[in-house]
Amino acid sequence: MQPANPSTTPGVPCPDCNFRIPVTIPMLLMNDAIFCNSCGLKLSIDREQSEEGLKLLQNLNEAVEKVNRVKSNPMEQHQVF
Amino acid sequence: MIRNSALSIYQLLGAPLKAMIDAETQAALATAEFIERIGFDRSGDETPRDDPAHFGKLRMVTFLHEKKGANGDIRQFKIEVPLLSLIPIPALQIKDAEIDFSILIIDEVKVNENTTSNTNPGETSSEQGIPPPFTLKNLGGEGIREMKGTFGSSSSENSKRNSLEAQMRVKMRLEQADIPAGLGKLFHIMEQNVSVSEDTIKALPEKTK
Repeated sequence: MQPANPSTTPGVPCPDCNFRIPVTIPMLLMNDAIFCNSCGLKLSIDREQSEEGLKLLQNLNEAVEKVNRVKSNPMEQHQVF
Repeated sequence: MIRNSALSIYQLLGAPLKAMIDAETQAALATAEFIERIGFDRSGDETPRDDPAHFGKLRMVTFLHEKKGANGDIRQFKIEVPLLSLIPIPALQIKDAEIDFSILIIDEVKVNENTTSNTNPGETSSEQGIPPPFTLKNLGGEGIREMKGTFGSSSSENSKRNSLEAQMRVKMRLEQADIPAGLGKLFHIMEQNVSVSEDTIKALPEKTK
């Protein structure tokens, strides 16, 4: 297993130290802020400005959760779809 | 009956290969659609939706952070990051595939060396989307011969029945594809589109100590 390419790993480059802050979809949806693992800088998510993008992520996250539920319990398929 | 439904060996071998290429094509199209729908915003864009050269503008997520200015006051900065750089882009490819079936050779036909080999009268191989087959010259020197066959079965139970009922087993392993050059370029563009600017509207007053 090779280390992930920094430019292809989902995340934000820290504006202070340029360290790549890894980001996940649930992290963006549930947290108000993310922190740089290197310098500790706090980046608050501007939910008002990013409303449309976050809405799309919410839909995507729900779809992924549905697929994961069906994968773990195939009998649930009828209820989900 | 079996003779009529027989296909050239290259068709029997080529059909599952073509199906896998089609599957990879579908996966690539799904990736492209994901990138377009999630990563780009076409609202207010006048260009036709089917114009492949115009995806719209990059959809951004905005972050805010505070920083102490030169004179000690706290200033707020706005960072705009392309949404696509915050999420994993699904790009699947078939890592390896194992197709397991047996072929029952039922016929051998002589074909004209100067014409494209057809398996069924009136049906050219180009019509089926499969390139013409390579044929082996008969060592007996009587032109080109081509084998015809159908799906067979190694199980004794199935061999008594029509061999077309035999099942093909396909094992496929999928993996996240290596980053194609075009996608790599997109990542590069996204990196360049991260912008940091001072949020003057929301500039904060100096915090009291």
